[in-house]
Amino acid sequence: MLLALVLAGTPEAEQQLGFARSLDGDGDYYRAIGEYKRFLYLYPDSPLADEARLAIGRAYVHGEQPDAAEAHFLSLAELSPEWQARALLETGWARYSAGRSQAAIFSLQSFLRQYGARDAADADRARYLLGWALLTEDKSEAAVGAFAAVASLPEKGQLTEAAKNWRSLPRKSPLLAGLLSVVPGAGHLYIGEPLVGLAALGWNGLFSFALYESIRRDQVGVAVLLGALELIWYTGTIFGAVSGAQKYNRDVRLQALDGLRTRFNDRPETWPPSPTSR
Amino acid sequence: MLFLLAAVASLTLTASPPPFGNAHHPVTREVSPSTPVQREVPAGDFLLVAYGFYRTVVTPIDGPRCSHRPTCSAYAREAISRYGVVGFWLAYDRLLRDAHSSSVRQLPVALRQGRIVFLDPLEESTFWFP
Repeated sequence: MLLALVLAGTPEAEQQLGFARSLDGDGDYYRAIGEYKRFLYLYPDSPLADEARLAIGRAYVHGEQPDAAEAHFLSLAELSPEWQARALLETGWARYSAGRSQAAIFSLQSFLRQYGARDAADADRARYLLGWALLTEDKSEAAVGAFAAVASLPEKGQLTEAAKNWRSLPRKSPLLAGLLSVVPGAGHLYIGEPLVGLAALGWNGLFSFALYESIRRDQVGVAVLLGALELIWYTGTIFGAVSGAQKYNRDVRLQALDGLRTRFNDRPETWPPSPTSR
Repeated sequence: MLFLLAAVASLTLTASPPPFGNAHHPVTREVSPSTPVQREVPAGDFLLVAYGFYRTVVTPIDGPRCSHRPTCSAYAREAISRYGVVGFWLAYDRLLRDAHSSSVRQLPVALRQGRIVFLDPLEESTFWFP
C-alpha cells in the first residue's frame, strides 16, 4: 500500500523532463537546472538522460554562468568517448555564446582536429561557430575558410561573401592618429571627433600659453607645475587619438557583426541552424 | 506557545542564510557569483587622499554632475591605480569625451537614481592594451 502511494507520487520521466523544458523555455534557467538534475537523479538510466545532461550546460550559458557551463561540460567529457567529443563542441559553443571568442576558437579547432571526421552535422556546426568566432576576433580570412568549409548550409554563400568584405570595412590607423596628434586635436579630427579635437586644442593651447607666460616672467615654480600638467595633457591627447582609432575600428566591426547577427543565427544549438533558436 | 513560535521564526529569519537559502534569503542563482576583486589604492597614497577629499568635500558642494558611470573621479582613481601614468591619460581622455564611444557608436545608457547616465567602464578604453 505504502509502495503504491510512493509510486503514485513519482512523476513520469517524460513529464518530469517536460517540466524542466518548460522552465527552460520560460527563461527560468536556475529552476530548470534544478529540475534537470532532479530528472537525472530519479532516472539516471533513462534514454532521455543525455538530453537532460546537455540541457543543464546550455541552461548555465543562457543563465549567464559560462564558468559553471564549462565545468559541467568538462564533467560530461569523463562519461564516455562520445561525450568527450560532444563536450568539446558544446564548450566551444558556450565560450562563443558567452563572448569568449578566442577561447571558443581554441575549443572548436581542437574539436575539428580530433573529431572532425566523426559526424558531418557536428563538424559543420563546429565550422560554422568557428567562422563566427573568427569574424568576432577580426580574423576574416580564416573566417572565410571556416564558412566555405561548411558542407550543408544554404546561407554559406552570403556568409562567405560578408567575411570576404570584412577587410573593406572602414578603418582608422591608430599610428596615423597618434602622429597627427603632434598638433593637438588633429588626430581626433582624423578619427571623426572634431569637437573632442577642438576641446583638446583649446585645453592644450591654454596651458601652453600659460606655460610660455610663466617662463617669460621667470616664474620657475609655476612654469614647472604648468609644464608637468601640460605634459600630461599633451601626451594624453596623443593617447586619446590612438585609443579613439582603436575604438572606431572595434565599433565599426561590432556594428557589422550586429547587422549579420540579425540576419543569421550565429550560435545554433542544433544543425542546421534554425532562425528561431535562442 | 505563540511567543515561542514567534521567537523561533524571528531567529530563523535573522540568522545568516544557509548555502541553499531560506524564506528570508531565497536562492535566486544556481551558483553564487564570485567575490569581486578589490583593486584598492594602497592606504596613505596621495591620490587616495585627493580622491577622498574630492568625494567627501567637493562632490557634496558641487552636486552629482558627472553623467558617466563610473564617475570620472572613480574612473581616474581606478585607472591610475591599475595603469600608473597611462591612468592619467585615460582619465584625461575620459574628461574630453561625451556620450560617444567613437564617432560611430553611442555609449550604452542606464537609469540611475532618476538620471540617465552613460556606462563607460575602464575596460571600454583598455580592451586593446597588450
